[in-house]
Amino acid sequence: MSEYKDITVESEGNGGKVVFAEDVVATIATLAAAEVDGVYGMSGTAFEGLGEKLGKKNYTKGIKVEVGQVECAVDMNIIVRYGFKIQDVCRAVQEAVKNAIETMTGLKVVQVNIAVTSIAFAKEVPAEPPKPENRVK
Amino acid sequence: MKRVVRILTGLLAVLAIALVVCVFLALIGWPVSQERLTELLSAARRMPNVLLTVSAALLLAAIGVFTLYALYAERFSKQTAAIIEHNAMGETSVSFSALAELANGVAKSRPDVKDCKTSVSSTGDRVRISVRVVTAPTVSLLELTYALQNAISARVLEVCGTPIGSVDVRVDQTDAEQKHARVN
Repeated sequence: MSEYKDITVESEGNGGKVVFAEDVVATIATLAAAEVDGVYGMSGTAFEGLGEKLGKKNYTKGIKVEVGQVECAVDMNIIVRYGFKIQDVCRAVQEAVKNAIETMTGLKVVQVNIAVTSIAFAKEVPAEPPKPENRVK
Repeated sequence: MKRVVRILTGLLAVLAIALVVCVFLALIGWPVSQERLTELLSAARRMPNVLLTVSAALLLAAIGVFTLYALYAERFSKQTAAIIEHNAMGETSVSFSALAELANGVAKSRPDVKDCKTSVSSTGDRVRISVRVVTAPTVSLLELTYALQNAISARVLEVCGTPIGSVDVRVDQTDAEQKHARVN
């Protein structure tokens, strides 16, 4: 996993600069991908999942971000729901992540690489038994 | 995870494994060192339950090994992408495990398949799916294998957009439904 660093964007006209905290680009990408229909979640390593089992939400699980001064590249490991076309889901994730990062940070996204590591099947919920009708009123 | 945290956690895991190795060597009498390890050995033997000490040491070693694996296994893992597609925005890939899960789901959805195991491999640019199924002895094997091959190939093509090189099916029948013994 690449080491995240602060992102400094020189704003024009105002004489100041905007500094993004660490992991912010990764978090934006994760949240954008989660909203795409067909994405079950992000796929991380065993160590990354350990924190989630202890109750702490990890928004940077399964994602690597390489950030420059004006551009960035994102590598993501996702889990796709069964029944969706993987290539369609991946293209949608790429567009969503690209739009989200460029809109929120102003960085140009040059690459969004998606790796589908697993497929999630819907758990079958047993049908409830029919309620017996009352014989008397 | 930050690099510093990864390095520190890795060092801690290595120290834990080294400590267990030293304790083990001291228990078997290996002259690793003289005074300090002898003191540790004497202290361990004075404990009411030596087995508990050994168990705790083994647990610590297991945690250390798992920690190292969780931190660094990704670097040494082989290429796991079965299908790779390039587009204007980057690269999308489907792993071997995802393909195997997809084929497994297709096979298990059939009512005449009791159990199945799926593996995926590639030779060059051709992807091969191997399915091993367990079915009842009354099922027509010819129909089952033909149906499985077609279903898996079609499903993978529909979901991934890429044709599969081959689908190999091996059928292991069971006689679990034969409840009565044939001989006395």
